Amino acid sequence: MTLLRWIGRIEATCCVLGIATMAVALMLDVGARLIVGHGIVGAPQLGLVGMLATAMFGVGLAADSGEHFRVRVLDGLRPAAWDAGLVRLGHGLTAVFFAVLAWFAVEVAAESYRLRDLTSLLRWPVWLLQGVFVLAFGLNVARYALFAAFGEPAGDATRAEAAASGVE
Amino acid sequence: MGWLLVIALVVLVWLRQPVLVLLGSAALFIYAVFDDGRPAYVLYDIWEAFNKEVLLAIPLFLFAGAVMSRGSIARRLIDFAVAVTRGMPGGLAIATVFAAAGFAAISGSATVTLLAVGAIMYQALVENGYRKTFAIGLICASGVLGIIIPPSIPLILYGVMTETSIADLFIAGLGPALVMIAILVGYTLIRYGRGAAGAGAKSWDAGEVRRTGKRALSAMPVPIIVLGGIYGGIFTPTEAAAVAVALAVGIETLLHRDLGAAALWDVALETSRLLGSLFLVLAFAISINVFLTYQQVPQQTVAALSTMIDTPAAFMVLGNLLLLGVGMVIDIGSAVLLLGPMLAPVAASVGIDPVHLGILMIANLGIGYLTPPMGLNLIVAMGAFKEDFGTVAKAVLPFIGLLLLALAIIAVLPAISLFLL
Repeated sequence: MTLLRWIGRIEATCCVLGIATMAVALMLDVGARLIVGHGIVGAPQLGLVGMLATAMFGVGLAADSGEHFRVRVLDGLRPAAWDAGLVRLGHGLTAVFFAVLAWFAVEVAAESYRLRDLTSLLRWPVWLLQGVFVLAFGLNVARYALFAAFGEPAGDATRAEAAASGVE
Repeated sequence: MGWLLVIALVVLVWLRQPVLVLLGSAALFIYAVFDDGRPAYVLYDIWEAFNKEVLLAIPLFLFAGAVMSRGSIARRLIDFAVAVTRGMPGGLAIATVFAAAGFAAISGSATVTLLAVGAIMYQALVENGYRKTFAIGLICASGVLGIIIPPSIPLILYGVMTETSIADLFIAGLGPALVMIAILVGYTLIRYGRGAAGAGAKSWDAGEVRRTGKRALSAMPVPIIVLGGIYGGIFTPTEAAAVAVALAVGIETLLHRDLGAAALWDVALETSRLLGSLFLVLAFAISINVFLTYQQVPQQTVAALSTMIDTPAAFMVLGNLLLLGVGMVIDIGSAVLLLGPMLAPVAASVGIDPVHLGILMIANLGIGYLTPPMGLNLIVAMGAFKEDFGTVAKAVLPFIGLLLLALAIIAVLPAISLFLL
């Protein structure tokens, strides 16, 4: 599962860079507003870029640690003998779901590229930022396809099933 | 075609698919079938969702809370609360409630509050003569303060989904939190207010209060500056979140010297995992909401329910029963995202303030933390206190009653939420 580890590392690095960008941009913006009376142009938008990266690449990290929210009311209604097969089937379906999203993300980014859309204040190409969707969804297609094909690395997916969520 | 979607969703739940797959599939389905056949609109909605500046408050508050949980702020607040209440019958339990309230003003999360306070207070409570079930129930219930006392992530989610002022929601959370604190403290005094049980071995010591107060002093500016800034109109919630990050990182790395670069990296990853589990769910919920609004579903819902719900009292009874039921099976984030936009117009049609509704929703769904089968605090408490599910579920029963009492008071007296607005 070396590939899975590499995927995780790429996602982790992007997430930490995203959080750092978000935090620094917003802190400087607030600091500037308090000290010189006005914020830094484009800082909140830069923060949004950081949030986009953190949230999208965080999907994979949450998958690896089993932190995605799940409805458990039907958990008791699965025959134990079918469990292993159904788990793999579930992973396969999740891979298909992310593949569909990745396909539409490519469609949307391509349209922004054709229209030469730019972000409002930073004037960055929109397709470049929408490329984060393509990459993040694509990495999750690979992750869940590997889960479906070879099974999940031991302990990963269920590790935090019962763990806390910061949302709550 | 709606029945097909329902069947597909049930099958996906049976296959243990995460909520993000359920909501995402629902969003893609309704755009493909009920709109003009362009499911790619879901991606445009997600893109728009990621352009909402107000959402920046969520990762920043999560990050600040995670930094402070990892550092020594919780320990310092608890030490101070214990010193202040030392020698008082029931004092340690009251300190637990106060410590949870203090930490809630930093963390924004019920489970993080439970873990931070419970890790330190559970053993202390049991060793000082409190019944184990009382200690577990009290800590689990006090954890719920984490989502009532601002900053609260579920309140931000409600504000985003219903376009209600997040600053107003934060202000409104204060009164209901005080009601809950008063009820929990009152119950503690009834149980342990007489006799020596729970009083602890040592008597009140002014020197200890001074010493622990001085140590806690570095932690106190965070909620004061952050919440004071929002209440005073100096910061927006997003700016306050950035200030919280600056203070948290500054205090824990430079002043307390509890966290280094490696710990901050871990905290950033922890925050990323939480965001990763939340944001796509939020984005899909926004997408579904955009579709429903475009199709005038909220208006149709109001019209359909107007015969059944035509007074605030009827809404309070039916709405709260619905939320209690939903809170038992769905996590609070998903419940707020799904039900917030559906209930808000119905509540508005009978004259209920959207801010009051938000507080009611969070207080109500917060009780879901303590109710089987999905009570997250029960599950977390099983691990944290190493007790079986039955013991934990039994321990929280009286506290569910207490929080229901608080909910009833908050529902009947809107002024408790709205008096500061």
